[in-house]
Amino acid sequence: MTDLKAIRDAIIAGLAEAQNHTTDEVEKAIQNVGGDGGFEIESKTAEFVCAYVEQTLGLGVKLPTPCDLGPDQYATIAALIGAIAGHLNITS
Amino acid sequence: MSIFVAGQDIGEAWLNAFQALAEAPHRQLINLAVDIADPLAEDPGVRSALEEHLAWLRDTSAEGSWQSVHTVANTIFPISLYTPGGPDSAERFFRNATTADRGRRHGRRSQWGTYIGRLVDYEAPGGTRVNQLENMLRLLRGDRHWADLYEAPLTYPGETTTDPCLPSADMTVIGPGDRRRRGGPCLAHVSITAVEGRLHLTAQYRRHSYVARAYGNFLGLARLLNFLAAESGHGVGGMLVVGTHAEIEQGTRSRELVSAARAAQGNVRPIETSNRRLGASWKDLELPPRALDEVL
Repeated sequence: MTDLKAIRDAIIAGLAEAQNHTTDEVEKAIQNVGGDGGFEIESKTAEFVCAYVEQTLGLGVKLPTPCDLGPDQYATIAALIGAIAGHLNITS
Repeated sequence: MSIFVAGQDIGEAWLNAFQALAEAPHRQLINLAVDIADPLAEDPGVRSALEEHLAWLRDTSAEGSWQSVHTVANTIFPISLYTPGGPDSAERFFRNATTADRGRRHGRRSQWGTYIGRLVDYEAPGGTRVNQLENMLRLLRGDRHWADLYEAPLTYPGETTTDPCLPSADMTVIGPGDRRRRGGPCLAHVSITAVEGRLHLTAQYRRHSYVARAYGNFLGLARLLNFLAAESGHGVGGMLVVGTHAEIEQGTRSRELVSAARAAQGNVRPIETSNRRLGASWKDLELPPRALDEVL
């Protein structure tokens, strides 16, 4: 079942893959910047992560791409979780 | 008439070329050749002046695509997907770039794709997909040294040979399947020359817009050149960018931009060529505050 935790886990795994780190290292970096809202994602990384989440979760639907979103919708982990969850109509 | 302009760094080269265009009849030139001696350096003052102008255009112009320099550079080489230093850093970059590009193809603005998509995942005639950068790296990393193997006017990607007189691993951006009359892709061809341990890049644009695109194009091409050099054990040489039809777009204020950029010029720094450390902010680019919104 796809819920907010599954989306977040897939985003973290995508960030780890993109930057050649472990998910533990990504989580530690998130803590160091104060949480999901403080971890910034650059647009091309967001593009990769959206594609990665789509594949990993086997969503069967196309997620929006950063070029279709406003920067406030993908520029942090928290924003990207919200954008993906909103697209999938997941509220909690 | 052809015009040749030179600059030591990306900022100076762009500004000299932009000024030549600003002084040309109808603000356009045929065969504008721009030489950049050190493509791994730029002038943040020049770039910030341009970013200010782009931000003003986004606020005031109903037409045109006035993306930031960073966004334009990303279409050629997305630095956030390249983490150098590992044994498989090139292959990881290829995977990342291919995944990202395939993921964006359904987007409303995908149109013809991106340059990096055409470099790592080019659809050749017959539907075969070719990684042109991988082909090039394979030759550059090879035991035999060829200076000019990466040069050919007409070919399709993946058509490789070891005969230096035949088409080989050049990079095609506009291919036989392209029928678009307007809009991108404007970058038609990229070639690399390997001489005395250094790689030099030449790029040809069929149309080159100097406010919206050229600076970001220079930056993206320089990052591409750095990637190929770093991943094949070469040094970085110079860069030449030819716009067969170069222009300054309508509705832009070229004289004010030249003045602002000249006044801000003088603090040359190395360009960024790869990903930032994990968790780093992307807001600290040398950009005016309004332009930050476009970057992030």
